[in-house]
Amino acid sequence: MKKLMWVCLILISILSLFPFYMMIVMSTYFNEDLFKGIPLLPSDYLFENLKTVFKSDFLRVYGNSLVVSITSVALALFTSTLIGYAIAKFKFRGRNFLQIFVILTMMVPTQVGLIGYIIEMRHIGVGNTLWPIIFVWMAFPFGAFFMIQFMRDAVPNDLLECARIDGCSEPGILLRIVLPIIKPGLATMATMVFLWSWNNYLLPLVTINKSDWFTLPLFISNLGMVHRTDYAARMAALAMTTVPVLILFILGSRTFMKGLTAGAVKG
Amino acid sequence: MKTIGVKKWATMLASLSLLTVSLAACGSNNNNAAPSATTSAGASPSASQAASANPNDLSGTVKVWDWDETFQKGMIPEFNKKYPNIKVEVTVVNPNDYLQKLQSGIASGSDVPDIILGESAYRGKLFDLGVLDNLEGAPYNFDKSSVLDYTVPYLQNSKGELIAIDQAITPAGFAYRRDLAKEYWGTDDPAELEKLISSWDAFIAKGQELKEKSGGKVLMFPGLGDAYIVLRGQNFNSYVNGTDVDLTSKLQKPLETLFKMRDAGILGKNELWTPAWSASMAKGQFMFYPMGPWGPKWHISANDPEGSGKWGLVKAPEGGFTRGGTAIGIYKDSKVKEAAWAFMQFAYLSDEGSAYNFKTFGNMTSSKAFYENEKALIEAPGAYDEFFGGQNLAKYFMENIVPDMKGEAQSKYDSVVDSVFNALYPLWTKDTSITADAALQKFITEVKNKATEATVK
Amino acid sequence: MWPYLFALPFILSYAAFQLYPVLYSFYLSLSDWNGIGEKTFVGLRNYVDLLTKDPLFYKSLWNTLIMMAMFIPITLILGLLLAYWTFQLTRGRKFFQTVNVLPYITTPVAIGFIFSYLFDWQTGLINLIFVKLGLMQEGFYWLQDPWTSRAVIALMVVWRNLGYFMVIFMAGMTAVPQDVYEAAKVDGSTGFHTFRHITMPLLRNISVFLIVTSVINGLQLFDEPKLLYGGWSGSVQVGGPDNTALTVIWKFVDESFISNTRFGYASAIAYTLFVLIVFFSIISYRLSAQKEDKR
Repeated sequence: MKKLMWVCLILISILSLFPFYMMIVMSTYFNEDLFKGIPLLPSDYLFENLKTVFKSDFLRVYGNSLVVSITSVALALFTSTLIGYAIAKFKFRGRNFLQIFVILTMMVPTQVGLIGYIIEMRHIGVGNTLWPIIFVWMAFPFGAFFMIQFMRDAVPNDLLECARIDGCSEPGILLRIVLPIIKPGLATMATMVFLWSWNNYLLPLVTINKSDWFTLPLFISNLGMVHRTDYAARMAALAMTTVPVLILFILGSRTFMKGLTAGAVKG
Repeated sequence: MKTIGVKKWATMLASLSLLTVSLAACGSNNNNAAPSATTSAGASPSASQAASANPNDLSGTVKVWDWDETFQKGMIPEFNKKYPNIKVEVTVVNPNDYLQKLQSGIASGSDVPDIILGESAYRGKLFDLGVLDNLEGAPYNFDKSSVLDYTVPYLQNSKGELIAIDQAITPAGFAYRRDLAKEYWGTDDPAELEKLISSWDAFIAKGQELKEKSGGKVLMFPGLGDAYIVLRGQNFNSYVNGTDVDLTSKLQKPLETLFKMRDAGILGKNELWTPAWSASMAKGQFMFYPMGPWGPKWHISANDPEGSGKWGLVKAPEGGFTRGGTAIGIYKDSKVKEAAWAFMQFAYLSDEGSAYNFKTFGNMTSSKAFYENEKALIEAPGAYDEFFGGQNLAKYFMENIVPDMKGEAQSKYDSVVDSVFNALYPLWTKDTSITADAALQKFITEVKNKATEATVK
Repeated sequence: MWPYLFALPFILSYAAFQLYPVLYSFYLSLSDWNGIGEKTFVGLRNYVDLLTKDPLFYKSLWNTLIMMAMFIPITLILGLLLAYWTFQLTRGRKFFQTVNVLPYITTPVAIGFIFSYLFDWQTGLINLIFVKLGLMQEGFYWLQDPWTSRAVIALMVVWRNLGYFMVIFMAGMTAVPQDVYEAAKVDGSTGFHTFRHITMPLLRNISVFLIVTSVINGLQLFDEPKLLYGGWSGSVQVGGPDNTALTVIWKFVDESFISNTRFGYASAIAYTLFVLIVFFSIISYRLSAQKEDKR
């Protein structure tokens, strides 16, 4: 039984990793050689493929993706933390209503408003910039919900009371007392928002027309698309998009897992 | 400990807000940087006249969306030699996303090119959007008798307005493998081959012979998609009248022939544009590939870089057809119409531009004058003639294929029909029990599903 | 006053970037508009057309439900099993956890490319290996068969979400107080018995959470099928073979941005889907939470 378990675990883990392995192996081939045999072992063309990728606008696109993800994280953290703090730690008229409101907002799929959103972006004059794919994260219902849950458990009410008695201002309390306590929650949410905006495909696909503003997923699906598609170079670009995120994740996996589950288990 | 934490957060927040500010700055810059195109105030109503009078008078920034960056990178410097004050800006847009990006661009009022390209896959739909200017009107005053007559229907919308010019003409024949033709049929001469495959029945018979002789290793076409392009392309009849779509008249015969070929076992099982399909050119598994004048560069030599001398060009059985083909028009709300038109005229119609285009890329203009004025150029070896065993490709296209070409009216349903075909032919490849009749019925149902407002039969 | 101030940024940005577009889309769903010409108000006609004249909509819904029926149970059961096994490990727990979550954080574009390569029928690795091993005469046409195409999409979803499910389940197991297990051991309960009678019931809430969220996300399936058919190969097949891989959101995107620009009609699709999502999430909540009431 135990042996079987190990075999299964290892097998599934290999299956989880195999596509990544293929991605890296394929990025080391000369495109036409990919289809001549079974490319299971690395070849020696990686450098050339990387050159092809960097000859295109890869770095700028990488920068775009970073700007989008980092700004989205900052904005999402900002609004979610504030409303989370308000609902979790204050008693005020309309609190229940707000709480239900947040839960309801979670249920509305983003696609429902997609067309309206695009038209709205045009009206405010940011139709073809990075803004539309950043603004969606400004009001991130799941984030708000997550912060409510997290603060409710993690921040002791007594501590807040003490601070108030000591004469701290409310923003001061939030900045100096609450923020340090909820760091793990912030880190988790930051990771999640980062990943989701980094990987987002649909919204950039329908909002961004200008190759100057492409994000990575869009860029890769357009890379070398005319008449001869360089699959190997695409794979190299994909590897460069994915691997850093994976490494980042592995480094910070402890906080990520902790926070990720903290929200879900309670929810 | 605590204070350190606070400091860290404070600095982080500060840097974040800084970032937001700088981002805001770059965002607003972009808005301001929107094309502030200036057309010269004194330009005469007809740009073409103004252009030929004094090219220096025209200025502005013209935006083009093209998937072919190499072409634009080569052409723009040529253009600027004559028109130094017009800046042409190219955005690379994948043809698969082109229309969608254009539409969301127009709908969101953001970024719309001045020069719009309509690839064959969606040009009918583009024409139907009503976003292209009528080129016969001012300031263009384009004379449609200056281009090859058969191309005119490809440039008109359903109202009969001429709203585009051709990027290049796209009469098509077959690229064939000389080595295989020689080996199995004893000749690689285009004139001989023409006789061997003069009709589709002869084509099928030859195909079966080829299959037998090669032990099944060599077939005629890589897949159903290639054969369909030819068969459908040879039927120039218009099948759309308002919202009446008569698929039966358009597709019944092509589908019957297609299925005859499939059942004769002379077609491969590749889907168009897949890696296997591209790789098959170098491998020599198939005799024929439908090919227009843009094919030698983009299609054959790109996928079979070592195949120089191995290829030839021959006419298709029973006549010519069009393969691909891109229409080029001007956005009706463009602010730099004269400049855009100057570029289009230069790049796609003028003798200088066409000569450069022909010499560098093998593209053939639709302008009649070019073939009169630059006869020597057509006679001289072209860019890819050597790759094709020394055959004069341009001459072959002009003399053997173009004469049977007819025009075909463009319709917004063309792209629906194409996408339905793309969705269905892999199934026909896979499931050989499907008959031509059943396929047609399925085709009609699917087109109905996609174009709910149309009456399809 | 402070709580109101604190809540304000979220509420304002929600109103601006989510609520307004949602309402505006509703208005659009009552109009006929291609994004360029004039808007005309048509009342409920888009909805009526969608529900009575568009067999493709029902097909897309059916496809989506079928694929959900494939991937939700598999991910759930496999995720639970994996979590249970990994939870018992004394060494390597974190390793397995991390490795299996990697797919979850990978961009769908990558997943689409890799899977459409693996299952390509002529150059795909799966077929090449099967043929080489002599298991097949000729490669199987995975992506052009109505059922295997859906299965491959389901597999992509399973592959992507398995690790996430596992981590969530493990968190639930960690939350179960250790003395419960101790007590069970003392009572002579072992292995599977403990799992069946102690762990499982305690994980019920988590299962409900996972089921409901995967129903909500499943109905919005788009990235995987879209990228599978249009990522790797140059073919531009919308909806897979004979539309068997067309999902509701794909149809929505196709109607609004790709094949058509029927913004009004597409908005009606989005709203209909919204109603369906609410409906199915309530049903799935009822069904999965029901057992608890009986206990």
